[in-house]
Amino acid sequence: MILFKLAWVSLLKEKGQLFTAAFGVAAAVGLLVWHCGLAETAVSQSEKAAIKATTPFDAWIQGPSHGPKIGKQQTQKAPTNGKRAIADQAVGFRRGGSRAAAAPIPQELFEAVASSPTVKSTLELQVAPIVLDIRPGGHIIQGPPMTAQIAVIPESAKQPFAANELVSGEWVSREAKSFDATVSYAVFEQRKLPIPEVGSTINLITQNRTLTLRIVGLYKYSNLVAAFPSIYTTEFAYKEITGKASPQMIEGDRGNLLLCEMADGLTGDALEEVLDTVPQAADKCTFTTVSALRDRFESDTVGQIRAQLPLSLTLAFITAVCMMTTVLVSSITEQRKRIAMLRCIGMTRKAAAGVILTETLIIALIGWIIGLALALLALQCFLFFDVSEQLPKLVHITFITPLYSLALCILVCMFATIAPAIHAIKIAPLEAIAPIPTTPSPISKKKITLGIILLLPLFVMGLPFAKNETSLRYLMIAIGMPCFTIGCWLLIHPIMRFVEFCFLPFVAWCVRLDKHMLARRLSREPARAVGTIMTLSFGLCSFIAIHIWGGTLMSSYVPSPEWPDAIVSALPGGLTKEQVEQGNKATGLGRNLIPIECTQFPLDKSTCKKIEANGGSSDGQVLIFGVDPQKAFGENKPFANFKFSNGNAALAAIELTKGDTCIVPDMFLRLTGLKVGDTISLAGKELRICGSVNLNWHLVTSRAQVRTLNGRLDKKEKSQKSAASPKSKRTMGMIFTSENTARKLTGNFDRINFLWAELSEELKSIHPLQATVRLDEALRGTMKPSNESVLKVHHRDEIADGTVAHGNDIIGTMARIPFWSLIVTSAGIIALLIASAKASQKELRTMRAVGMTQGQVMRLFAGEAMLIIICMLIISFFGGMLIGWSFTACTRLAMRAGLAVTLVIPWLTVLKGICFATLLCIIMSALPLRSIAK
Amino acid sequence: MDLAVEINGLRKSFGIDGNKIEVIKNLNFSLEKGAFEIIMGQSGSGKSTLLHLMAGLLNPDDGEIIVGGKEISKLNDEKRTIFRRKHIGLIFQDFNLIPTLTAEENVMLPLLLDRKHDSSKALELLDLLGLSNRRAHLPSQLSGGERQRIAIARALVTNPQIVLADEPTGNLDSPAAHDLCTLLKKLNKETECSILMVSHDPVVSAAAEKVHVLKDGGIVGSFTTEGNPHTVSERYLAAIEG
Repeated sequence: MILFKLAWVSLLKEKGQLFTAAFGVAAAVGLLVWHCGLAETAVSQSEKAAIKATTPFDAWIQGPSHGPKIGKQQTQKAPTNGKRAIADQAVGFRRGGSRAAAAPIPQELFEAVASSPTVKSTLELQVAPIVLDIRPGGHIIQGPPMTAQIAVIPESAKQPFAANELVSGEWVSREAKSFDATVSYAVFEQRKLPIPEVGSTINLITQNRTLTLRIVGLYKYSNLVAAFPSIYTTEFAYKEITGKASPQMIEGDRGNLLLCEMADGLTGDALEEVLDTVPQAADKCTFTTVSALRDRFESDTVGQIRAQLPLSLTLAFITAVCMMTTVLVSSITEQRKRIAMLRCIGMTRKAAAGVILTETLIIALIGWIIGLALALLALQCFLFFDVSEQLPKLVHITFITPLYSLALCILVCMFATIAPAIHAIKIAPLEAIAPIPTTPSPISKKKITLGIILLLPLFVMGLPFAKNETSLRYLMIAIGMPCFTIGCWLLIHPIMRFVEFCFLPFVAWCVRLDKHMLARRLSREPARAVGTIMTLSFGLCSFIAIHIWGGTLMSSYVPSPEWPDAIVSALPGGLTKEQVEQGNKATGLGRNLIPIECTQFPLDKSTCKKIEANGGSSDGQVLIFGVDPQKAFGENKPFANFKFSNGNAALAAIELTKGDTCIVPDMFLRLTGLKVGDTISLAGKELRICGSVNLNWHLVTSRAQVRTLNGRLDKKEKSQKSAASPKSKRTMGMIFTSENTARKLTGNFDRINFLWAELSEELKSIHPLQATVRLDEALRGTMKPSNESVLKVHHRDEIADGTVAHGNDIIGTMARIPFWSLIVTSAGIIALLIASAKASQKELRTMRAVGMTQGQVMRLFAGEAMLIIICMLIISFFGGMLIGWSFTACTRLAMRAGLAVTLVIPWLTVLKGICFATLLCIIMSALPLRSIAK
Repeated sequence: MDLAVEINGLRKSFGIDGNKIEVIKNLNFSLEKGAFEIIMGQSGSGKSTLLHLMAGLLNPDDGEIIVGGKEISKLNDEKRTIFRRKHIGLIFQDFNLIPTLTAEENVMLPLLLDRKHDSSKALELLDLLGLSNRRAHLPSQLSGGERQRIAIARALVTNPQIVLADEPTGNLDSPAAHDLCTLLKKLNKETECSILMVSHDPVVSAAAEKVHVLKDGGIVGSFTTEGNPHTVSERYLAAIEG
């Protein structure tokens, strides 16, 4: 009881510090409660959401090889409960999709289901996946193609799902002989595009042609089930799109999606027995029930939260611990005499530590209550104003969320108590009567040496010696980062002295005080400032490290500036030579277009063996990129102004013309272990490597659809017996060869699918997006492509911008958490200044007596705050650089396909982060100045 | 006659509402220029309060305080502070030196606050006080007597009109206290700076010319010391009892 009383009295005296520490805990608790509360609330709706998305149907069956391909992380899990029912990914962005529709439902399965007394009614649909060509503002969307599921609207001329609500326009008429469609919002919302108006059009790309659909209506659609249609159209349009009629048109032709409404009182699970009567047919299909969908929704929701939580929680935990530790250590420093007095009277060390623990518990409890309350309130407000209609209006949590947050609190308590308790038990009773030494503590050379040594592991881990990415990552987390943290801790005192030595005149000038006033303001009592500086540095350091890591990772994908200005694609039908010649007259071209012939296929077995003998990787296909050598590399100013690491452009022009040579990117040589002069064999053709170039080609070729992510086997080469079977179909490398050589390999001599374009000076001087749109229009005007081909201009710089924007988006999401941490921890500067003022009360009174004005006192502490901020900036900057550098080593090892990884420091972003952190700290430190001066 | 300090109808109380204690009650006082005088009184009589009021460290409830011809009681905090910095020297019982500044820097503190860096006056004072060889030392490296001398030097560095000393010998032993008083007397003669000191020690008080006795918030008597501690004691007791 006495411990509680002592702790409580102490906290009441230090209200500012109590608030600051509780704030840190509240912020951490708030973050956790937000995530968990949102997940619980979303999951609580899983049953409702699943029913809403599927009513009036209880189950559905998709034909064999159905639906969208699912990415690695969202692979369908085989049912483990003995049931057939399984659901596709229900939550989150679904990447791409299969271009082929599911096969029809087997006849015997259909008959078994339709005739079962458990089934009240069925509806059969033929659903086809389609690729959309939507260009908002003429801008080609980066990333995987947009897809949708299209079906003919059922006989009743309205779509079958109860929850799908028509928002504008009308439901398309099945019988109309037009390219009309009623489109769901989900088609556009999946890529955050604006919803178009009724009456506007959307373009579809099919296997054989492109088509334009007119939007006659728009509806809201739950989108939980990827297999359900997201666009309804007429029979006429459907036939044109897919080349086949829907099942309702042709007798005996089955659909590929069978929707089942069960008899009253039965759920979709009752169909399991029916399907067991036709096991062979049922095994080929995919059966889903509402309950399976609900379970999938729950697991996807929880999975999403689980993915985000570790980083957030780690930072929240560390932030809260740092705040608490800083405040408590400061508090002990001020209360030394009081604690010494208690020790004199008879308090044991254990009891002294107990007082600290009690203080910590009280702060943590207050922080927990505040954090929990505020987070739930914020969550409720969020739900109330949420317009997506996917979440309920009221928060729904069980005991789990408060329990997890309480556990976090206790953990924070335990860790935060350690340092202050050690301080407290070190206080000797004699300090109560003997004067406390006021000379600034000297710097320990041993500590400096040890601190520097402890920084070395992280530095060494960044050197290119490691071979295994996973081991390196674990080493960094287990050894590198802890050593770095301790090293920084040991070096803060010398850094403070260094900052005071170097920056004191500047700071004194800024605050218009003599530098002697500010002498040793930080370093006289380093223990007080160390925690705050470490805590402040943590947020900015993480921010810088994340951006360096992200920038480095991204740079490998940004197209090289040496790549020609644009690739023009004409897919799937291509262009004729005459069309290309007409295209050369288009306004906006700097030079004539150069045809490109591309294909992908695997290397021959002989080459694969050679690569494996070199210790390289031969997994995947290579991209053959054939161009006219003279046009591309000849002339005084080559069209493709590549940076040659071996050879040069003139030599390339001569050698490639011979037809039996090729140029490869450096990363291909790194990946395969081959070198210039070696021969590679594909489709029986041998090509000698006559040069290599330093080139980033991945994104510019995939965006232009020169290659596909999943590879493409040319029909001719599928039959080549000498070709190795690639373990994967990814593109492992790129080979430049002559156009003639490439055409001989592909067998395509008359159509031109790709062209290299160089922009005129006028188009080069304007924004890439504008240049793309203008050139696009000019080429369409001159080439006049038929409906068999979609003409697109893919500007290198626009792809680069898109890559950078996409990368920044991902990095920005990650870097947002350190910013949150910085906002929370910057409140610690308030506590530090108050503590410093209290510790130097006597000194301040003397100075006031001697003639220091209140304004000068405020400026004194502003100067102290500036010194703290400078220390923070130095540690954050160098720490962020060191961590970013080390993470780059992991990236280097993890990078596939021999991609070059160069350390990239996004200086502008780093500077923005530094400015934000500085401004924030200045604002925070200004808050207590007036009350300190009084 | 020129007055260093003139106080008329001064009142000061502490506490709130029903719990107020009037420490200074309608006090009138004056100090001539160049004088060295003492204020004596029992504990709680208001000696330090009076000194703090004269230094502008406290605001009076009523009355006027004129220092060096300037009425400081009506000035705002900033102006009072700047006036104090330039025209009033303060010496405290427990020295109140800044622990992280050297002796020289402590002496120069009022000048540094004014952003003046000429250290000649500081060095002159240190020399006068026999501390030239200690100018680079920190307070923790000086004895009590040396620290108090530094405090005196600081009080004189701006050539103030008046020095106010609040029991400056309180933390010193007898020889050091005696030395200090001799020093103050000497400085008073040489610099013609007025010195008003608070003390309860007759020996120390004897160093001054005149003693004013403070009791119940007002001056109840004033007498000359004749340089004799016994005289001081007798007359003090008479003033207190009378």
